[in-house]
Amino acid sequence: MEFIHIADVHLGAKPDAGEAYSEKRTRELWDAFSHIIALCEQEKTDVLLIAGDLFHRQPLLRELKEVNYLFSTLSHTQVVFIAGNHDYVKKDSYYRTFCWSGNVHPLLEENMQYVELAQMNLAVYGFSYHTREIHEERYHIKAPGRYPCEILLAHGGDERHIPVKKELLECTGFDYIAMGHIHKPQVLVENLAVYAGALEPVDKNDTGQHGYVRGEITERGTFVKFIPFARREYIHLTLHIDESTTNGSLKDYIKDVIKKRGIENMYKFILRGLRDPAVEFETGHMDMYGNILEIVDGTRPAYDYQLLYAENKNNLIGQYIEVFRGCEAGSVEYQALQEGVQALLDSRL
Amino acid sequence: MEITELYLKNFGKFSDRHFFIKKGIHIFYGENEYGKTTIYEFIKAMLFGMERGRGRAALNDEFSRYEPWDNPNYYAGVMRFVSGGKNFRLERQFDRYSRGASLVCEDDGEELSLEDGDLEMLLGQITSESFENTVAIGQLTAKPGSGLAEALKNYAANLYETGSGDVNLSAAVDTLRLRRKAVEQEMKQLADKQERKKDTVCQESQYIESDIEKLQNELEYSYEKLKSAQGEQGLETKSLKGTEIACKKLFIAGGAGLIAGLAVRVLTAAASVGTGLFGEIISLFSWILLAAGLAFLCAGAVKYRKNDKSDYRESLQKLQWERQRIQAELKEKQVNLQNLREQLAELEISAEEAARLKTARQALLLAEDKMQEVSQSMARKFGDTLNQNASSILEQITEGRYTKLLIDQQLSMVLYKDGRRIPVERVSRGTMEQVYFALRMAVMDLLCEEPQPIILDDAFVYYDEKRLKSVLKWLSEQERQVIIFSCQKREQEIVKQF
Repeated sequence: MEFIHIADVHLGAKPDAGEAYSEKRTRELWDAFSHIIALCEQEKTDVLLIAGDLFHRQPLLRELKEVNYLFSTLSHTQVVFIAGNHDYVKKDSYYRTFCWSGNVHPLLEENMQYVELAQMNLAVYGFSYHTREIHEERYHIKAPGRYPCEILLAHGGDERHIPVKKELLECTGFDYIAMGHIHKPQVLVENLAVYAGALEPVDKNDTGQHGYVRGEITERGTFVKFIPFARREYIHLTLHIDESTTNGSLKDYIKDVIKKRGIENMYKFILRGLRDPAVEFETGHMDMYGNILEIVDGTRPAYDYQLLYAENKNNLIGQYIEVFRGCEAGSVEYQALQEGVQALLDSRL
Repeated sequence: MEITELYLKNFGKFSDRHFFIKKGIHIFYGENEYGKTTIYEFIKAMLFGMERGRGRAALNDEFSRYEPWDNPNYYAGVMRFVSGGKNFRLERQFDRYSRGASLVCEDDGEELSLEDGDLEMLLGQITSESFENTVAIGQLTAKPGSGLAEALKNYAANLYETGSGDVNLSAAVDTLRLRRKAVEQEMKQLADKQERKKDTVCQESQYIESDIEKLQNELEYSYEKLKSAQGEQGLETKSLKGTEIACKKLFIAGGAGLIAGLAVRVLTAAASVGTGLFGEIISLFSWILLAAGLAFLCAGAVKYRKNDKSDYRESLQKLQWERQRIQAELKEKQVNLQNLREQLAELEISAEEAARLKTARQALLLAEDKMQEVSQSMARKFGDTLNQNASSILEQITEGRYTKLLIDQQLSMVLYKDGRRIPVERVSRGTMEQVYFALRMAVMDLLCEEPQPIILDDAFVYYDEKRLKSVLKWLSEQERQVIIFSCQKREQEIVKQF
């Protein structure tokens, strides 16, 4: 039995993707989802598992219709899904009334339920969010063992969304636990409990690769593999600055880095190190490709405050440094020290 | 500290040349191109070292300028000096092959380490950067475009506020203010941007809200319509019942007529009378009965058709479908509206950049505050002493002509001559030079614990004989060593008289 496991597609989200890509990003999330459907059809995958947060917010009726249409194009694949914390089943949610295509098996109850897929000897268990948050640990359960193959769909894993203990998942007895909610793809228990991660990154902090999980359950056991699939990636990079770095050289450096890591990706740069005190980085003018979300200037002017103090003990510069002695790097005081010393040194004839 | 000997092994135009420096006032007299500046730079290079510049900067830097004219690979010198009562010998090689330096105490032969900063300790406060501002005194120079009096006042103001002639408080505070303005501007732009984003979402919500209102009105209207339709139907059902009965009556009458008509015809046929008028009358009667029966039936059917209920049912159904459509659309819009409201709420939360700017603004405000505070406390501690010392020096070098030099809280500088206030702008160039000199000497007294030598580079050009004499007299009474570079013989002649 072969399956594909996706999660956190967040249809309808409007992620910040830089000047160049933000506008079409919502569309791209839909495209990614329909590509997965096409993939299932092409490979005749047995089951498509969706571990929650298919939608970014409450789904609109027309959105459900779109999704249902896509599901209905699957000639072989059975679809099982749950609702997560983003698209939780509200009192008047369309989830409650929508009529799904025959191959779609939503598990939308508040309590654990299952769907039996007899032709595959498979049962898929799961329940959906009916509130925005669930604080109890609700995955401390045992697989009933009534079917040869049993899969759990689970959504959560942080303290406000069904906390999960790895050790307890190991002994639940399920053949596979398809997890959602954490956007970073990761393995909790090898070949057993896996976060597929967001299909496409949907927040600027969703760095790294994104995609889906492909798996197979046979008599020999379960084997799963993460497949990178996302069209774009958020990349955070720390750039090391030294006293020779200028605005021009930094711009070229950033351009090179982006060329190397891919123009299609979206970037956040963090500048670290000591800069020439006379140089101020114009971080707003470095976005050549329209794919830089942010440049954080964490550089410090290359002053040796100890030395400056020694040289200026008897004048305002030294006395000023003395006032801020012992303040922590990164604090408001430290910033005041930097600004003040810079201004005083610049004031010299 | 006192310099005793300069040995220019190979430096600029000099090679293997010793200069022994006297205690007290030592004068280097020489015409132009004698090499006074070379000696001056030699002292600086010995004290602070000299690095070769890199790249294009190397073309005109001091290293290149004083690279020996002959044999540039041998570029070195020795300086002997006394500090804290001990004799030291400082030797440096500047050329790139044998670059190095050594510092030896000649009294006990102890080798000191330059790397560990032993020389800096002997030099006290002075660093390469501050050498020209403390030890070496030239003429008072004004920035291009501003007057000399202004330059002097600035110098004094800086001294008074910052303890250093070249650190400018008001310029620094202005810079901080400008930076703060820039940050505030950025904050505003950010807020505007956020506001614009919010506005678009708000606008979208408003559209949907008005759609919702419209739909609700429609729904109400359709409800009214439905209700009135249902009411009509209710009324009509009563009349319908009447017509139904009437229809039934007609049907019954029609049926009875037909049956009677047929029965009569069958009877007459069976009797096969067919004779006479009686038979004719009965036949006619049966025909009439048949026709009447048919007529009643037809009338009943027409009446029944006319009052058919299905018409009402159909329009009622239509109204209900319409209502369902409106309700579905309304719900879709409501979900959408709620999603938008959520989005709006999330927009307000993200404020990383705003927080950064806020901190920057706080830091700049704090910097401004602290700077003023520190400066004021410095001026309180330092200003009075500076005034006193400078006044006493000025009085001596002007032979009592100017008794007092005063820098007040507003940073204007006045001189007192025979008890009269004279703003510094009104005095002559020579007097200004002397005020400048007095200030510099007063500061040096305040700042340096151990008296450091001073180097006067053509500083007395604007002095008349009388004042030059008093300055030199005053200098000769000081504990510190004085090295004078001059292209005039006046100084030498005056000093000889002491």
